[in-house]
Amino acid sequence: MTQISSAKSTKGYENFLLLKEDGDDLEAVRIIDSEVLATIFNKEGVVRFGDDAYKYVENKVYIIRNFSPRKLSALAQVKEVIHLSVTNKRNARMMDARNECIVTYRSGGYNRLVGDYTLVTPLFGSNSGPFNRVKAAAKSQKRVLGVWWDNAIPRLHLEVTGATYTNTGPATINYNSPQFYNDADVLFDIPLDDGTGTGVVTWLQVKADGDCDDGGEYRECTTRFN
Amino acid sequence: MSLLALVFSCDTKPDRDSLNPLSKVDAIDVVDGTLRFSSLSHFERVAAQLTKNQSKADLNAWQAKFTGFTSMRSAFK
Repeated sequence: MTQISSAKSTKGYENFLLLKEDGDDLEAVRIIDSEVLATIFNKEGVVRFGDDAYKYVENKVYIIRNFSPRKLSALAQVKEVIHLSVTNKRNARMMDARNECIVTYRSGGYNRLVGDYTLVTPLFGSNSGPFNRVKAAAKSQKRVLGVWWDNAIPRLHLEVTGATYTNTGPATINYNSPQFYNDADVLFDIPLDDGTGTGVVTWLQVKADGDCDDGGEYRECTTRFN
Repeated sequence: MSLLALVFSCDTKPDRDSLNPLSKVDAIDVVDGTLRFSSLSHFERVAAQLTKNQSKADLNAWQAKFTGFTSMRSAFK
């Protein structure tokens, strides 16, 4: 962590993390944000099936036929690629009417509770075109030499209670995470369409809250997706 | 006629893998530190099943069954 923060480089770790711009700082982000897929893929971002393999890099997956490890060093020659999600710096951070959804505090350093949205195309199960899901996440992070890293706190929780779709209007949805203890992040997959295949989410009501390691309790926020 | 019956019988035999893919851990190999599933559909079924049981305790228990494998999730922590 300190080595990467000091060098501002992922060299040697580029198979599983990347550094995103975050204001004047950087944020260390796992290449695969899905908890399930990050459990199945190895630290090189590879999983094999039959004779073939997936190699997961930032926002895309190579399909390597007749896999052998040496093919990982020649990805430019791989023709089959699944493009997964937007690549801009931060496509939809949780926002309320006034601020980004960030609470910063000090407890032996700089810490924060952050809410994020990410538009995604799932690796599998996708039949509604690109970016048909949104991930809402709450994260606890610690700043080390200008880089924000995931950092466990005593309790972290995320709740999604409502949505408005372009065609069908307000809908009640309820994604209520467990009260995670000593975890750094909570993440939900939420369908972006309204089930009719025509409407998309224009607004979500989300609350992230946590008991942070300075003893404080932080509650954020009702947010707009745009 | 008997061949037709045999083929039909094979097609309709319950696929235990599809009924409970998480029970088929023994069908997942670890090769050079990488999980290898028997097929893409096997991989997708297991991933879908894990998605329904994705508490961190569940995921930790699942990946712990594979000796010699380090997941990206573990590496990032």
